[in-house]
Amino acid sequence: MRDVKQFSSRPKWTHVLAYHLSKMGVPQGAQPALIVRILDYTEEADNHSFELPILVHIVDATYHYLKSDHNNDILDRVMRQSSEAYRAMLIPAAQSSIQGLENVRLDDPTLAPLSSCIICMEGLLLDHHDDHHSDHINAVPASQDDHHDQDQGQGVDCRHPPRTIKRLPCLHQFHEDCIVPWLQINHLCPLCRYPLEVRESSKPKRRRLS
Amino acid sequence: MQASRARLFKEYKEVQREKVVDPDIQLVCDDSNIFKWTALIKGPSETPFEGGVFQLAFAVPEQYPLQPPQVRFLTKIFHPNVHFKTGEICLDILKNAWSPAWTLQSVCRAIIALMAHPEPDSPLNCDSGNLLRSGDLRGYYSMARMYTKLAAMPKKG
Repeated sequence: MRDVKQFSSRPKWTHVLAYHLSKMGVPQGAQPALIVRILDYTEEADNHSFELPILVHIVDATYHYLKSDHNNDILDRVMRQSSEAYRAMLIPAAQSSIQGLENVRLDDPTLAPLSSCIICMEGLLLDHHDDHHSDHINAVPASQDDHHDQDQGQGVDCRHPPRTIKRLPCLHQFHEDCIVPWLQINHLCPLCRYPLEVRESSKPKRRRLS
Repeated sequence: MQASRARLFKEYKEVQREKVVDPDIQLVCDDSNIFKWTALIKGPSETPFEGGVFQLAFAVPEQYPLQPPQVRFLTKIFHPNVHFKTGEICLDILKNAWSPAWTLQSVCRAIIALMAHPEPDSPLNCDSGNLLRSGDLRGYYSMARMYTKLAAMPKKG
């Protein structure tokens, strides 16, 4: 292991590094910034006192740094734009296909008593309050349980009228007020990506992922 | 707003229950703001991140779970799909492949999977992506390992 303190004698190492960078074809104008980086690196590594495979990997890393410093600023901008573009890429379901969703009757045999809506995580049939037995419920910051005392029935939610349940063609079931806002953003089933019909005009809008 | 809050409470309770189940993920909600979470995840074994603990910051939008949470690494990490400066993560489920079936906990799992299986063809960190794409596995491993030791492991002494 090299005594890294030597590296603080910067002028000497500057020459050595400049020589190697030139041999690698790094333009002279770009060398000083790289050399400072390499020396900073090694000093930092020394502070953390662990062994660094100096020769091979620093050469490799710096070579790439040259490109990345230029690219990262551009990438910053591109990322911000692309996250907006991603949202624009989502295709809502056609209003007609949302309205055409099948209602699930409350006595439907496919409705298991404990099945829940993946979007709100509440029970589909009733708010079965599986958390009543949780030791941690008191740790949760107080919330919407204003009418809690009235809620005496065996899990029957007295607070709200029963919520309408919708079934997608893939047979996945959700509360209507959960699935409709989702389908207005994206036409895919949250669970299996089954595609609902989309508006004709929105099809060509689909843009390529760059 | 109310829907997102209620859903996050559900997840909060779920996390309390799952803590024992998944020792690789420690997901904590901000004391005063349920829309701010942090997670500590363990670097997956047999990767250069093994032995490291990485901190993630979650900012949950009011439209959650119809919109994905914004997640970024607070701990420096050398990985093709993580921006080296900002910690931003390039992961489809955090963008256009989001579905409300994901939870903060399962997003953490997806990020751990991404750490073990980088996608060098959509790099946010070009240096890291180029090393992998040029087949320099040793170079990638040793850079990633160095930053794991520097940033994600307790300092010796």
